[in-house]
Amino acid sequence: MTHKINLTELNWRFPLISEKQHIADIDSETLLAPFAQQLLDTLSELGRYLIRNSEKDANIVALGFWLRKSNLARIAKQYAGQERTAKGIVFHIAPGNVDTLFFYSLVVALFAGNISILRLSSQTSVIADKLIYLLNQFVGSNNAFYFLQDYIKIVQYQKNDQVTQQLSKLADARVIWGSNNTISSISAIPAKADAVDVCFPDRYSVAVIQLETTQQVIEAVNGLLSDTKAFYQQACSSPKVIYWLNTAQNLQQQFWEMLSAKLLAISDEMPLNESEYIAKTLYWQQVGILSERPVAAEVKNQMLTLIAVEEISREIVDAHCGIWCFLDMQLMSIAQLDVLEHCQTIACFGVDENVLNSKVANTEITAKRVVSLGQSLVFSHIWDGIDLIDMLTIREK
Amino acid sequence: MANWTELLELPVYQLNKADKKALFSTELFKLSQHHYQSCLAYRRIIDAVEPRFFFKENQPPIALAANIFKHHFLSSVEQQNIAKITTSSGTTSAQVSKIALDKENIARQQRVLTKIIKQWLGKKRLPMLIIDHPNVIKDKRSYSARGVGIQGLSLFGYHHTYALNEDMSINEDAITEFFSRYQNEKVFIFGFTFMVWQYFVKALQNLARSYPFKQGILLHSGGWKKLQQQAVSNDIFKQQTKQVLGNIHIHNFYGMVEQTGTVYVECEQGHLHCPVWSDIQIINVANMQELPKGERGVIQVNSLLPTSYPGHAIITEDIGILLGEDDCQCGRKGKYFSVLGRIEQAQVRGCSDTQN
Repeated sequence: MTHKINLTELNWRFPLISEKQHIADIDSETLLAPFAQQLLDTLSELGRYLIRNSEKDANIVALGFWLRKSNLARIAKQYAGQERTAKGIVFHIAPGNVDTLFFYSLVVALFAGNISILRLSSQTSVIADKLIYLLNQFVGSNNAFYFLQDYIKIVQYQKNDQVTQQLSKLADARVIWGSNNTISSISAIPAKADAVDVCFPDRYSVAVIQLETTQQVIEAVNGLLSDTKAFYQQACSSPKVIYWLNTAQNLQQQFWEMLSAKLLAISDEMPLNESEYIAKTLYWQQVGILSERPVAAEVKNQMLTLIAVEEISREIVDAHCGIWCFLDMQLMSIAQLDVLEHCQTIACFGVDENVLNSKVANTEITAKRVVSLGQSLVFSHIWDGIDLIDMLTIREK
Repeated sequence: MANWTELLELPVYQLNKADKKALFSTELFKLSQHHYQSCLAYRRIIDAVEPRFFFKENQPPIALAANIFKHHFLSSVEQQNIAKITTSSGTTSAQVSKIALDKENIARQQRVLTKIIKQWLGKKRLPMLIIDHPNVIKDKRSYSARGVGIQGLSLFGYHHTYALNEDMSINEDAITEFFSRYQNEKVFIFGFTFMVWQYFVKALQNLARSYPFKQGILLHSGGWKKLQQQAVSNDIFKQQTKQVLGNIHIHNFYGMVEQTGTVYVECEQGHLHCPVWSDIQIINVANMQELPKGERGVIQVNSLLPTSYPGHAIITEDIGILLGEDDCQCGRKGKYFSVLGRIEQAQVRGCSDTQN
């Protein structure tokens, strides 16, 4: 039944050169050494280029900042003394819509010396398009960057198992982002015999906040804002549940009032449409139905909805629409904190991170990482507890 | 609970603003109380947002987002009393709404629909041409929205003739037979807007065929989204339909499976009219406040009919505009409005699916 699709006829977004050079001449002979100086230099140059041309887009600035030399060197240092070689050809199946995550996936694979093929879904965001544009511009700006064309291939196509199948055949590793359904359907498509699949399924994240003074309120508000603003609280690592640890009601109230005002102030720059307003209404109504315990929903304003709950379930989390709906829970002690199995990030404020880290390390709670509030969206090469560098290299004995 | 014997006697389009308001504020409040007492899910929703809702007499109902019926099964009657579950396939989602109906609600929906439709068709049953294929009403236990519509309106006709074959091709033999028999009589033609356009009007135009009935009424419903994509306005629709069906009366109507029965029929002026048993409000969904006449917003539909499920106040996904109340040139009382289309889809930004 399968008929071969001419891959060169797909919509290749990078590099923008004659089509014959795209996929036919992918050659895993030319792998680079992980963390090679050339990679370090080029990626940090790319980072600077992105910041310069970001037009103040916070997501692109964050990406550029992540690519700074010191950060890359810090990552490389974690593998110093280990003899590693690149895995080969990495096929990334990027999330439909977290605008910059695909790019992190790409640069980590590249930094580990690999060749990447990245599949974008048929609809890309403005930021994704801009990043691809900037990458093309960057490569054209200096001969020294031309080599990236051999290491990064970005293709865009509507869901098509046959194309995914043919690209998978080339892959020594696949990095799959998406829902459990997506992951299982792509995993079912065979890759090379010894290929690895690195899967990033749906996750949700929480924040634990303890406030003692009014001074802390503004800091915490700014932290939560930066953790939720970039993707309208829809990224897996944006906190959806706020756990209040022994915090006075009046401080909680101040916190929400301030967040509410700040969100209202950005409502012009981040307008919501009618579907989104209705989605927020639907969500608090759903939480009301889904919770066995009392719920108190409060629509603060057009941007912010608070839903005080006494329990969290998978259904309540799965129904979450983002767009600044916060589930709100009270904790008497950190020992009471429990998260669902698919929790990714615990962001904390005013709480001893070490205590939480050791709870995670002892698997008392199932979260993948603990960060300070405000750092939830900062990418790490260890994502969802998976060391991407380790997965995308081969360690010699 | 409402006295339906009396309610059904009310004239369909004659209640003025003050009388209707009085009727609705008390009856909707009673419905809120009834569903609060009978439907756990509804009670939880109200308790979550407004625990003191019933402290104040005649509070306007808290409207549910229409999609809630796609995610949850909300019923205000005992399981064994559910006689039928109607479903709608939303145009944009794979999930369907499930509406629980008991015998009383089914009968009431039909009675109300009859009252409304008779205003437009007259008292007598008419020979009926259905712009669909007969298999759409086969599964009697679980009707689709299309099935519900056809089934409900079939009662106003006789000699039901289906104009399409199962593959949506036109059944010329059936139409020709119907036409030769009834071309000089008043006929009733019914179909869903897009199907009437795509599989009937366009198909007949392609075949260069027309059936100029001397008199008749076409009622059609089901949304303009696909027609808007083809830049077909209501005027174009009417004009070209008349080219193939003769000088018949054409009335669009608006309605939804969540509130079956209370349809909003378009008058001679091209305005959709609220019947006495239901009402609309135009809502600014950013703050859920009602908008005045002339402003574009989301349509909320309020109906006195639903007792078996808490669907007496629903925020739809349609955009509309209130044109006026009590003063339409056609002479009918009550609110009149127009539907401008569907709300724009939500943007997806989360780490969700790669499968598109």
